[in-house]
Amino acid sequence: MTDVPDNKVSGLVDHLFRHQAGQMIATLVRVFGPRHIDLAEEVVQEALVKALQLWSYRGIPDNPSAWLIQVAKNRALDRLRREASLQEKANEIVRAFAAQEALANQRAGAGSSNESLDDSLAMVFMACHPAIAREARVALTLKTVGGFGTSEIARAFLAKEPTIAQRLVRAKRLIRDEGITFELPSPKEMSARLDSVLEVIYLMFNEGYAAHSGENLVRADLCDEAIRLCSLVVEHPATNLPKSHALLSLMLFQAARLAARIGEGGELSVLAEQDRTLWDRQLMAMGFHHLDRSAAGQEFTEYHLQAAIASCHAAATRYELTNWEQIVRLYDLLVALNPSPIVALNRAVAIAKHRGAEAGMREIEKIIEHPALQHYYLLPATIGEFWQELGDAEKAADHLRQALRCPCSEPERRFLQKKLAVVTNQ
Amino acid sequence: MPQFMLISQDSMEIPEGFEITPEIIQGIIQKYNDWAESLQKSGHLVGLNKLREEPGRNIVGFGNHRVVTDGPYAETKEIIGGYWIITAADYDEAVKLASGCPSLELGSRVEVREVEDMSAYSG
Repeated sequence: MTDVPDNKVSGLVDHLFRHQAGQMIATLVRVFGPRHIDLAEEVVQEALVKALQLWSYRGIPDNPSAWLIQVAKNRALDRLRREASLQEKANEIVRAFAAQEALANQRAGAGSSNESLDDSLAMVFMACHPAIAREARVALTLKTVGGFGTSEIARAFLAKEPTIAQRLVRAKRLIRDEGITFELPSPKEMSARLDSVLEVIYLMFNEGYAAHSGENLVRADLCDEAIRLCSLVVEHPATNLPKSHALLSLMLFQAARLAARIGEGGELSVLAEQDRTLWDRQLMAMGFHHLDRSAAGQEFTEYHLQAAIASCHAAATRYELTNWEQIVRLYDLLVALNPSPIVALNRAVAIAKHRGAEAGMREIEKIIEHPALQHYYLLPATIGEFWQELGDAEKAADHLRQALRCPCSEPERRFLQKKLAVVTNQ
Repeated sequence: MPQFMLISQDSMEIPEGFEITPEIIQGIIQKYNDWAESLQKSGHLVGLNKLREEPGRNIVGFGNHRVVTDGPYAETKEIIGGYWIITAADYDEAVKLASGCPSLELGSRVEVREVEDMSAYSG
């Protein structure tokens, strides 16, 4: 009988399996080739199950990452022996996993293996390839790079599992049929291909951020994963462009406020009401750092402007200190770059803060008929707020009720109800 | 103090439609480790063993006949995954301690058997 395992202060790093799975899949896809993603996923799954069977009894090994990599390598070699078409790749597998193991062993140090980073990024570029349908890109990135399960992706997107599974199958078939390669884009294509990657990361973040209520942890994980991926992007010299820093900065500023976004009653807490002591100082400092780095080049993207706006809020230690004049200026530029009605609505809010509700209302009138805003709760909610400021409680209440009839998340609903209660009690 | 063997009869089948994601796997391992650690800290855990995930061999004999087959679990869906030896005052306490075994959350069966006290033989 085995003695009691020497249980160290046990505990696995958060999401170790997820991240390790993503990295091992990337390495295997490089060796097997993109047409064999399924095979790579199976091998990795087998390695994780092996860990489940053994570690449950024997405790967690000293270096869990290195252990997983070792087992995945052996599984992959087993598969090669069986699959005639892959047989010449044995040496490559051994080499690829040796590099990963070296990384796992030196993880404590600051050094990082470029090979693993290359693999992870090549995988991101493959999953975000413009030939793949937009909504499938996010799912595929989460599955293959992030190590998320189909069920987790479905929960995060409030979608049905078979829907996501089908999307993944189609995307993988497309990779096979179109012969999409596993490599970083050439310098010539890089900027355009990177746009697709950044868009996927931003969609992922927003999906997690939009309805983040602290109750659904999977959605919070999406924000973390988006930031992790963007950090990989800025870490690699080929993708370390100013716009990558801009997006990372934007997400860091927004993530810094996550904890303050939900009030005590489970309602959405808006900037004016947030307890700013809950803002994460470290994330904000990192946000400012990457905002600085984003200013390096000639290219000026929406991410730059949105990050700059987010930085204005971050810089205001109290709501009253917000520099609305600067924010309006940034929104002017943003509307010029992206004339979307939602951006225009946000600009109207900034104008109202800066020059008063009447000025805000004039801006709203320009977009009030826009079809994209007709079921968007923030349009009537904003108008209601303006009326409240102008002292017309009745019109304010009308619009808040109208906002409550639009689709919105539970915290948003509670926020509107709280506002309505205030207005009707005046 | 009496010793008890907890034998985990693990179900080899993952329920249909249940996806075992990396995150879930990590969570299960964590639970086993937390459980074993708590038994260890309270001084109840004596030892444990994990059996390999394979059917093994089954020998059936009668008189001088021996028949060796794969198994014994080749045809059943349960397999002994491993066992733990713990100390406990009596069955009540042993069952209480065994009830925290995470295998139970996964639909496994845990058999609790008292180990025969052999100390009288060694004197």
